Amino acid sequence: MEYALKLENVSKSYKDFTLDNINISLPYGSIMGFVGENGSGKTTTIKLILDLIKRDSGIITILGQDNVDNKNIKQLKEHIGVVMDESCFPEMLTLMEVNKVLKNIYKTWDERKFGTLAKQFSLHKNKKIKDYSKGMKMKLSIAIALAHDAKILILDEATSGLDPLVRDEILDVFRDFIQNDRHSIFMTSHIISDLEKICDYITLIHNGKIILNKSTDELIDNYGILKCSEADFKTITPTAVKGFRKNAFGVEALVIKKEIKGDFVVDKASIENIMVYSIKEARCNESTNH
Amino acid sequence: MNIIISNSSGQPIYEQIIAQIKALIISGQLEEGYQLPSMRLLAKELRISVITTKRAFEELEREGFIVAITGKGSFVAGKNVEFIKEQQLKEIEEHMQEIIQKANTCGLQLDELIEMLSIIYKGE
Amino acid sequence: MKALIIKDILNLKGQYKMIFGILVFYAVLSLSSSDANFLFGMISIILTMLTITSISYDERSKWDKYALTMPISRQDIVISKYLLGLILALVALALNLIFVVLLGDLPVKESIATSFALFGISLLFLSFMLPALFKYGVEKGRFIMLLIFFVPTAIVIIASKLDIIEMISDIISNIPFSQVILVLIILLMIIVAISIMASIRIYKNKEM
Repeated sequence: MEYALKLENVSKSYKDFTLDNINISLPYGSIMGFVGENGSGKTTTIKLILDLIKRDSGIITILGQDNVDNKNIKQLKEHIGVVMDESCFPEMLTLMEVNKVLKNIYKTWDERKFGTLAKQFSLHKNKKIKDYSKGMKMKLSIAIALAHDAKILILDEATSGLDPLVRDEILDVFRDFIQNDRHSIFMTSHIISDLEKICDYITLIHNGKIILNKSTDELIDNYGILKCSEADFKTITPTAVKGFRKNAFGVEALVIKKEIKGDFVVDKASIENIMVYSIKEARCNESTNH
Repeated sequence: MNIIISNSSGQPIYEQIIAQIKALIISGQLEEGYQLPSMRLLAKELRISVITTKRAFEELEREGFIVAITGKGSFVAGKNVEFIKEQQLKEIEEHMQEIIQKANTCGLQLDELIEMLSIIYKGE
Repeated sequence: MKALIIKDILNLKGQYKMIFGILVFYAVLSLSSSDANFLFGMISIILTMLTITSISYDERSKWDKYALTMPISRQDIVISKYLLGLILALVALALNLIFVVLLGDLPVKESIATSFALFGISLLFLSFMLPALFKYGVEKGRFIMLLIFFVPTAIVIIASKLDIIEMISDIISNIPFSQVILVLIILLMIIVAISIMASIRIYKNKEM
């Protein structure tokens, strides 16, 4: 199968942190949410994908092409749309001037599309970027990412700092983007509810390793939150439990629904639950291994 | 065409979609030949994953309720599900004839052919 | 590349008013004192520093990382800064020459020579500054900037104390003027070329 984005056995070592053997596969036409705590290696992974830092080992391909600066990389970048977590545009420029600059950078720059998106996002034409609110700066980045012939969007916290209404609007824009089944999106976000709404796949990274990599459906269909007494909890098969938390009045655990026999309270697990419990479990395993 | 899904019912979303579309077809509200919305459009409008809608459509096709025509979309199949199955078996037979002919021209034996088929089938 | 220079020139627009004001101030000063060398110096320094300012702006807004996700190579970015520096140095040269014409009572030959010398010195300065900035960024680069100002000055002062300058002047005065200029120009071009190659190598390997 071809993948819009593929990381194979990618590693990167720093003095006090290692990104260890990362494998990520994003099929064409899908949206993958990349989540993890702060310091888990999310940003390092994104930087490796964008060739801002060099990998120690492994292969990274975007739209089937190696991501490293070589002869064809400029052509590839015409088709990559990036939104970083801060607005990265020179602050003294206005929208019109941004358009002028980008027109000369991207061969596939579509001025009209940019104008339409700017209007849709209510971006002021003559204000300097430094006077834009955070939300407007984000929307500008997204408009730029969509205004050239991008086939894959790489978004790093693209919806953070935006109010729920605007986020909703932007998720719709992403859904529109994905109507073309050769378009794909790779996004990181702390706003798990956004990821739950839109992502086809969720990849969870913790301490430099991928600890979860499944389709959203699989996660929601297979996982559940079990609530029971401590005594009852002891009777549950350990392999069915993927993380738990004891409180003063009982136990709450992330479980595989199918493997729970008996008449227990098992609620639906949100992606956030799954993420938090999985990380807690991973941390537990780390401390027991030391 | 109305599809209402519930996030709080225990039933997986793809099953809900299958059940609702089946009901619409069986009751006659969606007639034979009606073009269903694309998987992606359905995913977008319902705000669910494309994987879900794809799974639902694949299942519906397997059960013979809809037919997917590449390049065009998915259409409601005739009520005579048996007839559709027959048509598909016929097509498979025809493809097989072609394959056997080609195998003969390059001297491929039956057991080699079967092995090839197993490998490809398992790879799906 | 064109896009990058356009972007730099547009982004520096906040500086233009202030620069204009400063230049007018010094122009008036020069008129009253009939010594334009200070004015010429200021023009060169201010415009050369604009290149540094543009790199600082890029860093602050994280444009440098963002730009690399576009069809722009690291080499493009490096060369665009050198081109910017060249353009600004040429503008400074042009302004200086205009002032030579405007302020009629100046020793014309000397002033023109000074203007060209300042042009050369701007390029020399950038040749040392830019690789350092590409490697260390603007914050740490400020320290290097001080070094680049003070070390040559210190050398000149020490050299003059040791009469080395007089010795060099004697040697040079025996060589025809045009040859000296030619050698200096070629030397400058070599230094600029080495600087560009160094910057490209540094930037290509930089972890952003």
